[in-house]
Amino acid sequence: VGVGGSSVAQPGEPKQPREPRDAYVIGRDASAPVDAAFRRLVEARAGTAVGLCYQCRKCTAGCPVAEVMDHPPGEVVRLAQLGQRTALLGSSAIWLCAGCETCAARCPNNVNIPAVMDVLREEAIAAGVAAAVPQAQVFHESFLAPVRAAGRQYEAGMLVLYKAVSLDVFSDLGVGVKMLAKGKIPLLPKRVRGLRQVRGIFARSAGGGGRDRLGGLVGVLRHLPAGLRRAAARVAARARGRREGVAGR
Amino acid sequence: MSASGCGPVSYYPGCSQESTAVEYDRSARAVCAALGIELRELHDWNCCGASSAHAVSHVLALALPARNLALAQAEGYGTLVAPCAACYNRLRRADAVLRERDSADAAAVEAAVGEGFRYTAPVQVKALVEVIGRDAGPAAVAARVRRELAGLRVVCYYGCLLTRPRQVTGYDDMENPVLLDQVMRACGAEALDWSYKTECCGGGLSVVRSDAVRRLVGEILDMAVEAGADAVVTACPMCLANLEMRRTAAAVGGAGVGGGGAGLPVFYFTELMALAFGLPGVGGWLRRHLVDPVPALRRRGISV
Repeated sequence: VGVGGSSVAQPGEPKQPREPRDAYVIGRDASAPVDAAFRRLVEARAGTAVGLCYQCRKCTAGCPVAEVMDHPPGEVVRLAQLGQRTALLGSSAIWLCAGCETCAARCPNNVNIPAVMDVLREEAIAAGVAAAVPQAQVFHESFLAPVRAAGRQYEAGMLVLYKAVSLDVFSDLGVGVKMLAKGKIPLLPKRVRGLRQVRGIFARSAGGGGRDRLGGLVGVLRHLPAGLRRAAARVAARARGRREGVAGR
Repeated sequence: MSASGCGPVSYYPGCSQESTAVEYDRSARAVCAALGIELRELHDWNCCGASSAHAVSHVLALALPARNLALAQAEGYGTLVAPCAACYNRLRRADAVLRERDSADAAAVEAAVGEGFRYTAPVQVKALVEVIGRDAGPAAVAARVRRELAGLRVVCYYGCLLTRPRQVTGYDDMENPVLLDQVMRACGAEALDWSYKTECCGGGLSVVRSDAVRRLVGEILDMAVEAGADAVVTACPMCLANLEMRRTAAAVGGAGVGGGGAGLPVFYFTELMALAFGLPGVGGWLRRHLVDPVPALRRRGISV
């Protein structure tokens, strides 16, 4: 067996065509053309030179979520070197990156991988590429909706939006109730006075003022505090009824 | 003149301090008051955008914290203190970008903040643990201790955003930070060496991929048990919520911890400081935790 796994051709025997495979990205078809323009765009926007990467994979070794990504950080950088726009914008990696900065801290060539991830995600959103991890995008939109509406986070609102849109209704109900009981999820939102300015910031930031999949659902935020207050009053009244019932016996 | 030697400072609580981490906020204020650090809550502060803003928009992720820098600049105390590691990180990033006066990024962020904002008198953005552990210093902390936490073995968990990336935080040692350890030692606790100080707990993915996050939290707690810790100490509300919520019973089943399945508790460093300072209110804060930390203290003869 010769180099690269192909058997040595005997005289007169036709040469076996080698499968074009990328040595660094598992499963990638190496015949896909290199898109240098996309690579330059990523480098310029992320302010980092992906070309410096020599595939030591220190980033992947330290990445806490590499094993659930389709392309771990080292492969993302390789794909960025080759300008593989479609593979990158459609990857789960850009949505699963935890933003922990471990890769950047350890990269011997100072490739700012988290910045690359941010640029790719923004590009995917701008191009309308469906997120490979849709619930991640829904989470970010649900997180930002109360901030746009009131200037501060409103956990109850965020969770209701996330669950309504992701249809992931039943996870975490137990821990959610426990946190409500401990007063860790306030019923009422807090509103900043300079709300006009905060909304202006969203409107003036690329990607911040755009349409998101929450659409009309954000209106729920306006009615949620009153609804939650009524629900809390009902629960309290029922508990009071039970206590009085016990005391009366 | 305060113990920090810098007079009053602007305080940016952040959203968690009013919801999941009220106990961090209250204990932070109490401890700072005891040390003579004057916290003035930043008037009309807004959410920093956390991980979600930078997930979707570069400018939004900088302009949301920048509005708070604008408010702090106007208040004129010169220093802005954030207890939450994520807020601290986002504020530091915006500050770093805005200090590059000639950059296109700085101009874009100033324009997005609007209302004629110019970052002409930059503020020092500091993490609360820096103000306590470096500006006030371990000696000032030790001097305020009324009841040493002798015998309490803790591992200090820094997570990601307090130290990384270096260009943003200016932290000296990203793989082995020691600031929290020094504060805990000043309180009389034993701060153990361990290898998971700066491993990520996956906080930002906690809702979306709780399966993957459970594994990360399990590894961190396992390592804390292996190091022989009674408790984990942190300075991040996201880390604490995640370490409490995303644990499985098996992850804390190691010998010597949480007998009866109570589990390895996680403290905000300011809660343990308040306990060592003999300040009132600690019991109420500890009752807000999802994992009851009181039994671990009792086992070391520390009453609350």
